[in-house]
Amino acid sequence: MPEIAAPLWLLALGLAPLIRWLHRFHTAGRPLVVPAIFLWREAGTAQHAGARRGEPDPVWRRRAGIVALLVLALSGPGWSLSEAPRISVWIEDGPALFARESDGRDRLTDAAEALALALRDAGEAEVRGLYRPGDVLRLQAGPAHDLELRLRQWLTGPGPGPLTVPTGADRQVPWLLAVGADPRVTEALHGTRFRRVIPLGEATENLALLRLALRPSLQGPGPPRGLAVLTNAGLRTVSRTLELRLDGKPFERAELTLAPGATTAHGFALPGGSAGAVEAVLLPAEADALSLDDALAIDPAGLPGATIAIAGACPAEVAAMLAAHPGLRRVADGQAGLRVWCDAATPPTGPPTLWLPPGPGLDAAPPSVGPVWADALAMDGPPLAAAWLRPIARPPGIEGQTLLAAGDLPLIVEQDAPRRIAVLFALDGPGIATRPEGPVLLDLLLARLAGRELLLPPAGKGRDPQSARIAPGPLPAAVGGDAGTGSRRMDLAAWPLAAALLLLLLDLVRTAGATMPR
Amino acid sequence: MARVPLGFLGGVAPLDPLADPSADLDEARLERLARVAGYLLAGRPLHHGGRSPHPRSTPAGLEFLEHRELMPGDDPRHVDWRASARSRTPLVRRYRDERAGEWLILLDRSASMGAAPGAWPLALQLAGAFAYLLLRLGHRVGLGIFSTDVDAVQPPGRGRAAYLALRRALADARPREGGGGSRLAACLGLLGRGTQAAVISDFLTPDAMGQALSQLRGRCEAVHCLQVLGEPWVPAVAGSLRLTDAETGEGLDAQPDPGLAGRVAECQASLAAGLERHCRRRGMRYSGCRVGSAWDRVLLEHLVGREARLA
Repeated sequence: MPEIAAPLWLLALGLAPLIRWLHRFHTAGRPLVVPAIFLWREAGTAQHAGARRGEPDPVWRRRAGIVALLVLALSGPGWSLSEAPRISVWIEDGPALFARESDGRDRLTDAAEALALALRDAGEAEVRGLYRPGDVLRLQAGPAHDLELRLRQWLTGPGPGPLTVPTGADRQVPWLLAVGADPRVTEALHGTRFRRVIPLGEATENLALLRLALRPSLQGPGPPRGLAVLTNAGLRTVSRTLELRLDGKPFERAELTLAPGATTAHGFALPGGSAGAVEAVLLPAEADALSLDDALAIDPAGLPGATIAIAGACPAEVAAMLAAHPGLRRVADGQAGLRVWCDAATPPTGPPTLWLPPGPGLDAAPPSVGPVWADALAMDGPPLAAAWLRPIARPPGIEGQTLLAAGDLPLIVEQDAPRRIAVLFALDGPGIATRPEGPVLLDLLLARLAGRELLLPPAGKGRDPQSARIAPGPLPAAVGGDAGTGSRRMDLAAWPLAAALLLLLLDLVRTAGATMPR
Repeated sequence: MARVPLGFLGGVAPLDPLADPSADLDEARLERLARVAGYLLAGRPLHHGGRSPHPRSTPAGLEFLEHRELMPGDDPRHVDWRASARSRTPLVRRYRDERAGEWLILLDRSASMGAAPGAWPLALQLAGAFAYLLLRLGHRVGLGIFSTDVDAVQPPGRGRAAYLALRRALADARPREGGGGSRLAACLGLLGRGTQAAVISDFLTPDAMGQALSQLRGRCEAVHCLQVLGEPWVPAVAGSLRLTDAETGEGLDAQPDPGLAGRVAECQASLAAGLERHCRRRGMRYSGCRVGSAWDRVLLEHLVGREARLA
């Protein structure tokens, strides 16, 4: 594919008419003394008097050709050996790219202008995002405004994926357009070669809402409880107003002051009898450089989770923990995906069942040895206090893998068919419902029965704390060099240059030869 | 056969060929040409007259010139029996021709002679060689160099001294740098009744010096015209030419084309043909040659009457 490196030189081709015009102004011509001029007059030469402005000297074509060839050589003609764009630009398309600078300019606008400047020389580029590696945006040189529009459309497209960095297998060393705010990006890019690195951004201050979660009240029937988590990802202490809204109407405000790097949680209780969407907003909005993380909203009705049926007389602690689990919704038996069976009788066939046979136990005293989780749960099983582990008699029909044991005494047994897990100690230990271990144990067992996490997606919304960082950070050094297209381009400037020299030599020979007698 | 000493220039140091283009006239070539001319023109006056003697007659005269072999047609009364007995070859005596006259070589040194490359040296060679031949035939030869006026005159003389003086005059002669003209009529005053003239020029005037030649013919017993022309040359340059006449200084802007030189040569040939016709009508002998021709060949053809014509 032919291409011109410096097309502005081609404007010099406009000199051709000038060369033709100049060749019309040879006045008296080449002097020649002849013995008898009347013979020449009789020979019928075209005669003129004085300066002539007739047809130009035909040699102008050769000289215009020389100039044209020289101009062509200066314009850097070449042959692109592939259809690939000339440069590849990787852009850090995380939340930090959407921050607003202190002067009101969007960081994305700066990125578009940097791209426009790069494209002015390269002509064409393919843009890849660090968080959307498979999605390639091809950009042609053009106004920065148009490039910004295309970038916005591209970045608001399908959601970001995992962080991916250039592998180095590309034919060309890419460019990097990044903020470097996320330390994970900086770490991932370590050792990656970039021909040019364009840093973006100056703003550093950002207060972000990291999480908004709701759960039923742990103190029995009552308004649900909520939690909003904020972090100050900036470098200065910031005071902001957290406004909580239900169905768009504010119901609580809190003035929060956060030191740099601090994270705080603000608990709240939803107004009773309400079931609308809950929203947390940081005010004022214009005081923050990144507005994307200034609001979170959840709809309790739409939260995912599991349906559960409770059968038998469960201890109050168990009932409270089940009611407080944000991922469980109690339904009638026969419609539930899970079942909690608080009865000594073997549970009938049905959904996966957590069997909590009631006491009394075999021995009121806890085992002398500490509980040990099976290998499969060694990392996830909560540490259980020995005081809670009062074993109960193992009902018939419980066979299977032991998940928790204290010495030879099985405490939790899992059975595959029918699918059930039996807890062989009383879950009514002191404080078990108000400490984390009890609800976590219950969630662990129910999630194992359901085959999925019940708290993920959680009963709330959150975002990565690192994504709240917008302050520019360290970036890898550029390796430098040209646009990185040398290996894909064959320079053809030597050909017109050689042709111009040949024509020039011919012109010199013709001119000098004209002075010699034949 | 007794060899007649021909050392006409014997003992004379050769002229510098760089200073004098006519120095190319080496003695051997001149002698060879003189011998041939002697055979062809023995005793014949170098003019076209009505009274044409036997071409090989031994002229009557009082002054002994030389011996030569008896040739068919010779009168046996002219055989020198004593000399023949000594040489055992029949020899006849030759006497200086009392009819040998006075010659004036008129050489054109106008600027046009210098403007055509090679024309001036050839004209000098022809003048020198022609003078040599005439002197060898016993004529008195003088030289007149003219342009607008008579610029130099070498009075007629005879023999070796006259030839050397004439050669020196030729060596000193130069064509004019520019300006002036070719006014042959200015030489009329040099010619007496019975003088014969040889005009060496390019005859590049609009009338090819026809009027002056007619006047010359009316005054002289015989007139020989030797026309020397250069090759027209057009530089192979793009663009126009500013032509300047070497003599008049007249200018002409011309747009050269590939056939221009050929057309100028045709004009030259046409002018030469007109001159030749004029000479024939007036009883003048004419020969034309172009630059590059050999002087001895030009002279030989002129003397034998094979009038060389310009192509």
